[in-house]
Amino acid sequence: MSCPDRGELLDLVLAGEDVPHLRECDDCADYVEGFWLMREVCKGRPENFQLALEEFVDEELEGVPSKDWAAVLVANGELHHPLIIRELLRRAQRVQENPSVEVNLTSAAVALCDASMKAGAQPSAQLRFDVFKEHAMALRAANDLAGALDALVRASAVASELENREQLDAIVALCTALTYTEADLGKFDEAIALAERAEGVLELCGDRRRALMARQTKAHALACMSRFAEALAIALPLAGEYDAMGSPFDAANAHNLIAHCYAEIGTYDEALGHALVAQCGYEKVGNAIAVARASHTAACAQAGLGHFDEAQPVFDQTADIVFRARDLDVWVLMRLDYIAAALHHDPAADVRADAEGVAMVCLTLGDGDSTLRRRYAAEALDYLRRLARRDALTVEATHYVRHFVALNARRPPVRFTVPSLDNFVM
Amino acid sequence: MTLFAQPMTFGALLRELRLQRGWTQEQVARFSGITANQVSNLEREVTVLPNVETVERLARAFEVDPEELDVRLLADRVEQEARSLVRRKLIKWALNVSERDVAAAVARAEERPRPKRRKRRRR
Repeated sequence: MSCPDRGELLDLVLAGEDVPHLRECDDCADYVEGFWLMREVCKGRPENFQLALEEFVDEELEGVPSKDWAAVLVANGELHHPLIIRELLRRAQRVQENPSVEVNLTSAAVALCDASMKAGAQPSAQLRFDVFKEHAMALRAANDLAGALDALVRASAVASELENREQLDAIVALCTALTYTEADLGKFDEAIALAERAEGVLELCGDRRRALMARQTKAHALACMSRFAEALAIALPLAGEYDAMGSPFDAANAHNLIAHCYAEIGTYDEALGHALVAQCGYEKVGNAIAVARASHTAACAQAGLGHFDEAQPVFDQTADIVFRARDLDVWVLMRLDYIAAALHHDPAADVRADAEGVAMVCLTLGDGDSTLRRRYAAEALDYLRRLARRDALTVEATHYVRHFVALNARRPPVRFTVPSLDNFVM
Repeated sequence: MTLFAQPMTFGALLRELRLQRGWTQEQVARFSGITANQVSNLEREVTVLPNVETVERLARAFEVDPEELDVRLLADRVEQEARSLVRRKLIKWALNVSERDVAAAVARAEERPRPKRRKRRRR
């Protein structure tokens, strides 16, 4: 007995036709019964189905700690379904401000994909690709960069099963480039090469938004290498293009990057303008961490313009927000900016605790092989050395010099640049 | 105490709860934050259906669920739970069919049933 296509079956039912097949086939009869339930729940609004799905998943996960979500969902075979996997991805998108919960959600999606594959119910290749890619980006946000790169390898393997392989490979290249720009990897030349390759393919595929993101990744990598003028030349047109596309979050990211570059080259009024636009954009999409980052950039610009007293509380508040979110690499950068601004404003400023905090965080985080993080540690140690000299603490200054030398003797020398606001005289 | 052993009006139930606790109408008013006059009106059924806020205040004073005092709230809750059960049944159904078939059902969920076509007689 062959069953009719389900869509055609529903067309017949809706047309009020007598369908003898329904009396012979329990599967199709159950399907039609479910369809009437769907109508009852949706009441003309298909989004009610999504709400019902959300409520269902809420009930399944109620009271379960987020680290156990994957285990709970995998243990219940009834839940091994693409609908649940997609719902987990949707939730992950909504909690991007909280990387550890985001990772727990995407880990659960990966676990469900794997369990479904084992059970022989293969989720579509496109869905698996999305799951691995989202998982990689969540891991990157949580600073598990090795995990992120592993997930991208899995995404790349799935991409080979799909027709739009070139585009998906470019997306993987873009995600890899983004991961390479993280402090713990700091592979900026590789990131730039990958971003350029991704941009070309994505542009050809008509994936305009991601092509722009690839360009922005290149600008970001250049900024990480202190090549601010080159970064600006790439980033400046991006904000307008994102705006034209109706992507407020991406536009805010571009404005924030532009503001950061302007602040670094000392064009503070331009920096302040772009930082405030970025802040406004982030507020609109309700991302508190991003708002804090843009506010910090605005504070840097204000300090550069000579309004340090106004900027100081903003420096402290934004660093607190970022620290509480455990985004320590950003926190380190923020504190270094603050130290430079404070000493520029008042060479006698008491910023020893801040510099010690930065050095401690940089020297204890990660595997110690991050060029960028060693550079930040070196910067903090250099501040401590100079503060010790300023305060005539000769022994302490010698200690910091020794520490600095020891830090760099074991590895190739760090690419150390003097902070832009650091023109105070000791 | 089983509040719903027999159907009771709101006023009668309020009076019974008050007497069980040995409270005066003034005490009920004080504990719940409504006026003694309101309590009296409710018990004498001058006011038959109090608003939700009053029900909630009285429920807090007597330490019972608002639904136990007001059958309208109970009906709302029963209806919500029934709807929730239907939604759960729908999702359980959806998890047993393919994603494509779920999409077909969602796409047609807002279509109105079409009247049955009549067969034309050939002349």
